[in-house]
Amino acid sequence: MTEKRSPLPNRLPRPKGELALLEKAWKVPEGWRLLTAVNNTYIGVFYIGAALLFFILAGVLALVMRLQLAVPGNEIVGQGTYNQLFTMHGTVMMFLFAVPVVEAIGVMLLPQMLGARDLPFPRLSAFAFWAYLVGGLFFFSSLFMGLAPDGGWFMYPPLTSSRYSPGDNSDFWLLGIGFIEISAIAGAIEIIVGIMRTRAPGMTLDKMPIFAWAMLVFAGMIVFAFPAVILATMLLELERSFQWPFFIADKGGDPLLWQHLFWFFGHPEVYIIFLPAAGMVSMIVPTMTGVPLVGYRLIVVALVATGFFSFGLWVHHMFTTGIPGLSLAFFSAASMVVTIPSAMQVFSWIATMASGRLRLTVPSLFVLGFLAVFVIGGLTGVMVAMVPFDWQVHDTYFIVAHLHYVLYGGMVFPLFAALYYWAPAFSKRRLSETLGRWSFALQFIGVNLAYFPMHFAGLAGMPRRVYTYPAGLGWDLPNLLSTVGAFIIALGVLLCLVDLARNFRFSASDAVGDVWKAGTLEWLPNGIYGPRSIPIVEDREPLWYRPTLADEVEEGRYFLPGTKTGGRETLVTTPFDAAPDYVLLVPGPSWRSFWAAIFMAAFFLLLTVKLVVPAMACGVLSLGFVVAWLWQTDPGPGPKLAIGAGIRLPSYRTGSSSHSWWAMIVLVLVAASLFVALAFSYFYIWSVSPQVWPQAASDRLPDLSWAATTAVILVAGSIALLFADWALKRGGTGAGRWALRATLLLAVAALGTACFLEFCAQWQVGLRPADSSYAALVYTFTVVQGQLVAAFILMGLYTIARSMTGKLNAARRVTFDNTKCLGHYAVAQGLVGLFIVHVSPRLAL
Amino acid sequence: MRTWLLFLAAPLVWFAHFSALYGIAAFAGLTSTVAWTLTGLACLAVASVWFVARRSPGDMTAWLALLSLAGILFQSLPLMLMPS
Repeated sequence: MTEKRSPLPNRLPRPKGELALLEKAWKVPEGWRLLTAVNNTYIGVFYIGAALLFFILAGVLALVMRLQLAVPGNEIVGQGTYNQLFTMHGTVMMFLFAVPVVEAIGVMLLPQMLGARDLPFPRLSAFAFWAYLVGGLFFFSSLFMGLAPDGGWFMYPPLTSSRYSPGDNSDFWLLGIGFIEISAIAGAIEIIVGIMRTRAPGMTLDKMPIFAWAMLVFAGMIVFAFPAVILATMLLELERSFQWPFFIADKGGDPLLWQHLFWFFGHPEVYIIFLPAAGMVSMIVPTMTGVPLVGYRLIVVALVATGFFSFGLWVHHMFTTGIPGLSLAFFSAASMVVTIPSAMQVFSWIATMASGRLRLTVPSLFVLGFLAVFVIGGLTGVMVAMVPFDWQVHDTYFIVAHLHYVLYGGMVFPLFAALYYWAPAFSKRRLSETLGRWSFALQFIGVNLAYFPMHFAGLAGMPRRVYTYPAGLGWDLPNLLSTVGAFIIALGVLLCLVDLARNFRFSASDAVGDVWKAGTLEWLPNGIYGPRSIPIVEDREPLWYRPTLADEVEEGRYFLPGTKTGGRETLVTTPFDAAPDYVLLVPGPSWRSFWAAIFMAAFFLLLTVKLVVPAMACGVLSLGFVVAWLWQTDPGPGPKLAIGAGIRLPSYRTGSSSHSWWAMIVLVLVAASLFVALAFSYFYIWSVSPQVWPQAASDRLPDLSWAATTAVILVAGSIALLFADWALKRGGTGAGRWALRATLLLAVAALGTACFLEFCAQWQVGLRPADSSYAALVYTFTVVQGQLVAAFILMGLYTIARSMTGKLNAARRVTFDNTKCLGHYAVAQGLVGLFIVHVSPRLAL
Repeated sequence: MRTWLLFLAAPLVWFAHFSALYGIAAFAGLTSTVAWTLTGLACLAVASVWFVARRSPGDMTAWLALLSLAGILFQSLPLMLMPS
């Protein structure tokens, strides 16, 4: 907390009108055009509001369930409705509340915390939000039509197969959730690129706020975990709609494949939810104790290690499925390992509190509540990591108790702490300490009263998901207590909502500000444009390190104190050292991203109810709006811009320096994760049902010449892309431009032909996808490759269109770089797919 | 990029070790010898990362290597002791 002086980039007084221009550039549209707003604070507050709405809706479902279970033999709701209630409660809480609210807080806080004016793709944030809101509301409304999914939030087949769940209920889950996950991935891309490229100068990785670290790990986990469940939903929907038998044992499928794919997503999902919450706690504790976080580096290490280790635990959800003893022991041990990094964080927070003097504010109370409740949930987690114990309590209320302790304690308490902690940064009034204390007390009592007795109900043998139970089994009292506890929680939440309604007055430019005397950048005075100037960061708690920083930033003494182009700008820095790299021209409000999201939501939802033609029309419209939206981007090089301290930066970068390239790389990682999940499915089903795999080279295996031809065409596609690159570099002349377009077209044709050829190869040997799990998986490789190739074809044609309209040249080439990157990846994936489908069965013969 | 790769090297070794053990056990059958060999190699790799990183400014990489080592040892213990 020592003050040091270094020369500031800009001198005073600032030019007249500089601030007014900055405000004009970042102005948010009013009236109904507010729907086009993309500023992170507005999208953030919309997003948080929507997530809280879903939290309340799912909470109401929980109250109905608790009323039903309050006494034995109750008949408030019937069995079918109860099935829908618990399915929707779990699904909405996990997919429509927990992940989105974390992304929302990220969108809201990260730019301010990193010292940026906005995230690099604000329209993508807006797209993710609108897609989530519309998709989520429609998904929830299925409950009122009696069409809500009813197979449990993890939707195990065969219960959810078309044979046992013939209506549209399961389709609502599969398509609805698949779509919402796309929205989550869009948000994750935004967060990764934002954190890596828009940190304030000097904010090296070891000076980055812990919350940003947590969000980076969170977003990285989404990239690798969500594709597994996207693939799972795709497989189940293909099975339900077209009888491709991935999970039907009669045809060589295996319902356990679903469990593997689902839990490969589902277990990391718990940490996806918990890590950002831990990040919030790591921000609140130092502020409330007035000392820097003890063990900053250890916490970063713990976050990263948890991110990795959490991918090695999924089988502990499947201990009762009859897997071999060796796997049981392996995953049991792996489940215990993950407690080490979690405990490191807990000890760090306790040490920080011990080294300072904790102010008992509302955020502190919620943090203390989190520590107590989460540790109890963690301990029961260690209990269920032990196989013999898990066998006893699997699918009982003990598990319900455990997961609610972990999720409410580990996520909801930190979320309320965060609401109370950061509200003054975005509101004209701070929230009430009195109401907050009452809200905390009621929630803390309610949580323990609701969930603790569930341990005993579970140990007494009460299975989860029963809609009623007979008296005299020892379940009566625990259930009654749980119901009372649930209503006390609801009262606590209601008090917080009353507090928000009374006191939260959103303002991006006129907020109360740093009421806690915190040390990080989000507490700088902010306008609608973020901080007036972008500071240089010299410490992890810059506001403590340099007490005059806030005034200096507000005076415009640091970088980019105004707008150089008259538009929205933010500083892009290098990914590791955070040195100024270029000035990003940030896109402003637009209807295009809004309509793209609305029509994409409509596409998925109409498809769910089998209205194929209108769905396709909406899909085309959505794509049209996406193209129109992207058309305005990639502005090309302009004059260098002075940002202060005599530094002049370009406003455009290409290749790996471009933020856009980073986004494409993350997207490729998503595609690769989905492909790896598919390859796993193929080998897994093969190991389970070798009898449906070809038994001889002549048995439903196309001649190798098919694969060889397809491979040659794919490689030709890649070579065409390299030629296109060469032509673009040289292409000032008309001939060069035509060479570029021709080679791009050639690449597009090559990839499309290769995909079609692979389909023909399988078809001509008489293989049909509904025949067996083998056939279904072989065709799924073509489907997955086809999706990628379709995206590449669209991007290729789009790139050609930009070339023909003069928007692509050797200097203005970000669009081409992205197309090229996707094309090369599609070729690589196609070649690996060919090896798996054509060569691996032959190797086993 | 080099810094980033070094930082993530140890957990990536953990991941490779995990995948190898799981893959071999699931698809080919695992013996005690294979488990010991793979775990030995993984420990060696992580120890190398720790050795390279121990003097670098900021000790996050070295700590992450130690944590990954604990993960590798703990999760493979049952496989080495109970290979059938």
